[in-house]
Amino acid sequence: MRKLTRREFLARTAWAGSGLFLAMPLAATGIRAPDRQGTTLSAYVNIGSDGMVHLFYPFTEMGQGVRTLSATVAAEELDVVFDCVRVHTPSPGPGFDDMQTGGSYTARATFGRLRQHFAAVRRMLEQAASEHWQVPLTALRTSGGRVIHDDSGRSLGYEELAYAAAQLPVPDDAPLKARNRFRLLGRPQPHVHVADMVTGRAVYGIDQRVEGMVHAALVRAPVVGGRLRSADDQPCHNVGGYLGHVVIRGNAVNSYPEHLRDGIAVLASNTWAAHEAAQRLVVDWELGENAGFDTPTYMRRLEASASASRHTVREEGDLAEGLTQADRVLEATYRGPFLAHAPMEPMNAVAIVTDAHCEVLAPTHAQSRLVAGIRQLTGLPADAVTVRTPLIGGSFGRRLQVDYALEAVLIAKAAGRPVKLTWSREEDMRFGCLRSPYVQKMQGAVRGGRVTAFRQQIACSSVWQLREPHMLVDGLDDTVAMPAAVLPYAIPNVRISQHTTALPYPIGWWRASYPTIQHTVQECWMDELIHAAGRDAFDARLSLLSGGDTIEFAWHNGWGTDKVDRSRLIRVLEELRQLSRWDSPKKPGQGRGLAMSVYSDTHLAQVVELTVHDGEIQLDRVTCVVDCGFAINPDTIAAQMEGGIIFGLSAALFGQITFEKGRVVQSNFTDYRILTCRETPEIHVHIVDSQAEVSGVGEPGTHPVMAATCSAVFDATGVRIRSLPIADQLKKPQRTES
Amino acid sequence: MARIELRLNGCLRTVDCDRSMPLLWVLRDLIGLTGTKYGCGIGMCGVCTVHLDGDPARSCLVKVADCADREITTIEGLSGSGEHPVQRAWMAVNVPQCGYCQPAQIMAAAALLARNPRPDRAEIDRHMSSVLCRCGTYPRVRQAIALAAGRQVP
Repeated sequence: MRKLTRREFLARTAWAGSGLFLAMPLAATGIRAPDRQGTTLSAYVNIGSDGMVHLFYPFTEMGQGVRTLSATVAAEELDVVFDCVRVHTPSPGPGFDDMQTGGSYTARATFGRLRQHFAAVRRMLEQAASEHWQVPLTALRTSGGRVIHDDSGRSLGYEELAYAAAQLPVPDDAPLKARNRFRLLGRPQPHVHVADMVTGRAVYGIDQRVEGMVHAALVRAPVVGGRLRSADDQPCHNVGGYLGHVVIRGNAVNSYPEHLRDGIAVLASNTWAAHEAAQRLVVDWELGENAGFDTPTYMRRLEASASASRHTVREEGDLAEGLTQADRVLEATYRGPFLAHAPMEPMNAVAIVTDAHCEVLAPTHAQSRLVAGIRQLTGLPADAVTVRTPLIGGSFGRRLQVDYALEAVLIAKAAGRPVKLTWSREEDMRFGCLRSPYVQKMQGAVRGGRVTAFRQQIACSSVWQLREPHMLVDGLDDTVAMPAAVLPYAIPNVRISQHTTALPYPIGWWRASYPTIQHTVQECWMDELIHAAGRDAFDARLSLLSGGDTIEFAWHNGWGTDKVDRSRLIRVLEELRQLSRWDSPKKPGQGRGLAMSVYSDTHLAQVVELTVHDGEIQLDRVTCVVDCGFAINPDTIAAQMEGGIIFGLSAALFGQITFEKGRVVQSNFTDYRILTCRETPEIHVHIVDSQAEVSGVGEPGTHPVMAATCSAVFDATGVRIRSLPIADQLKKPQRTES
Repeated sequence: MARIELRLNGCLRTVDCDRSMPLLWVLRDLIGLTGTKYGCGIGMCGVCTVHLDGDPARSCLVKVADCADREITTIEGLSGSGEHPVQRAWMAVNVPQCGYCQPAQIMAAAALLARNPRPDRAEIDRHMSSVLCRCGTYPRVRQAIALAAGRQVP
């Protein structure tokens, strides 16, 4: 979910090494194959005696399709049947030393490396057959998991060759399959788990059970920093299955890797009994200094911070002159709320803790962070910690934090037996790791039908500043800055600055977080400026990209650069204009809005078409054009765009978490609404036929849609939405703009 | 505690539990059928949807004692191994992302088609709005139901 992650991968992990996975000693990795008869060909590939190919892939499946991605690449380059590949998530350890999935970076970081890896494995299998039959390599081919010698009509299965192949040196010149010979890559492939998912056989974290396990529900301090004074569990004894309770002590809000609250864990023989008993527990809390925290006060603080923002993120031309030499100067303030992830599977984890070992089964995609946290809590060495990753019922960034799994460890340790902790939905809403709210002060100018000045003053909370302040460079958080810096337009006078705060509440990554803020505000503001210039949204943007050049922005700590290829954006916009029928007549009450975004090298734009009647928004259609390089699996790309759009629409229309007296007000899907089937528009996704490198799709689909929605509302009604969510803003009198 | 006999997926099952325990947790924790999921506990999200006498029901709200005389069908009992037309359509359209709500989406869709074999788009939308999906698979849910109903994709 953050750019650091992918760069960390490149910088530090085995995945980034030039020798790739095969630099690992073969058959000496300590990874046990599911099929013990099988042969471990590398740290990452095991071929079972039944011919099944087992991959140990350190990137986590959470609905975004990375297991399908790795299985497809393996089946393609190894020449095996797609259904014969099984993907497993390993526990962190040698070769898997920085396990974290996020930043829409998995495809980009691993596609080429996976191909090279499997090409090398296939070459070793061919080499083994060549030596066995005493025939040249050139006389062999592979198909359906077999090496075939056409001249003699002989063939051997990979399972028969695997042992001999594993003794061979690793080739460094194994040829990749030519793209024109792809059977699977570039075509739609089904989700590797689809059959299990439609039959209820798929096992998620919440479905797991282990021997001797009890169920836990946790009653936490209602306010960050609250301390337990006393508890009375007498009423709990009326609940059948109640087994007792244990106290866990929390830590400071800025603790790394996670802040944990003081709490009392209620133990019971089943999940329901645990939560029933938890509700009856009588607890007295010392609430502490955050008991007065509320949203209006914090938003006022952010507003003051925005005006005083001093960290310059990007500066070009002369802003003062741009604002003076203008036909028209505009100013506005934009605001956005805290947002919760609310994945359908609530947080949960199973923990087994002994003096010598700790095993945690947790739906997380930050396994190495979890290991660090477990070691901190237990004092165990790394090789005494095992993390098992089941299927994940949605994350959207939530499970990059591992607080729930560490709570399970503390409870299991205190209870002296295996524990499964299950959060209720109410806990999920109240104790989430929220996306930051924001206030932004915008200024701009137009002259002669062009946007000539653009000023953005950003204030928000920083994920890093609270728990990982060492990630900041001279106080600047680049995860906040970079999505703003990449403003793609050639505007002569630009100044973007930011101020971040460390909120006394753990915030987190939310489908990339800061692009959902920066791209929303920038594109809404561009719509205002373009409207003031009297221009069409497409025409004006195309003219501001007219050079078609590539601009680059460097991360301050040397992690590399983020690029905007204006020629790719021009193509995206031109295709979108056609496909969205932008220039066709609109029905009464109908409006259209355009927004675009560049993130993680994926260039995309969307048009939202909606109708407003009596203040009610009906979403008619969203058209999305995306350039994410070579389309590995067009079906996954389309699904991620559809899902990302719906995720963003939920936020635009309804999404809002608020605090009163230090506590989250919202509690369930009743007051934190998400889009339903009925409210969902038609969605059309078009993937640009691109020669660019593969880039990610898990997050970017969300980034343009909030701004496109706000601009469509303006087109339909003349009402500017400058504060999200839209909620009932259209139902009361609003300032309008001519 | 009470001993309750249930007709579940065509079999008789006996459970010993509190009479007010929701069917959801009886299925998941006592019987071990985990295809039915917990999502909100208040009947809002629908991911715990099962069939009671063929009608969709939210198992997080139904007390187990109230199921004693009813035929309970969960995702595990919808078909032998995924050959129900709705499940086949779901696979053909590749609906799931994270997959967590999908058993409930399928149970809701199967109940709709049992009562109304040719639902139009508005009927699909109305009926399927009872089950939330955070991944945003709704466009494919619509497509899959249309496919299962033997209609062109809307």
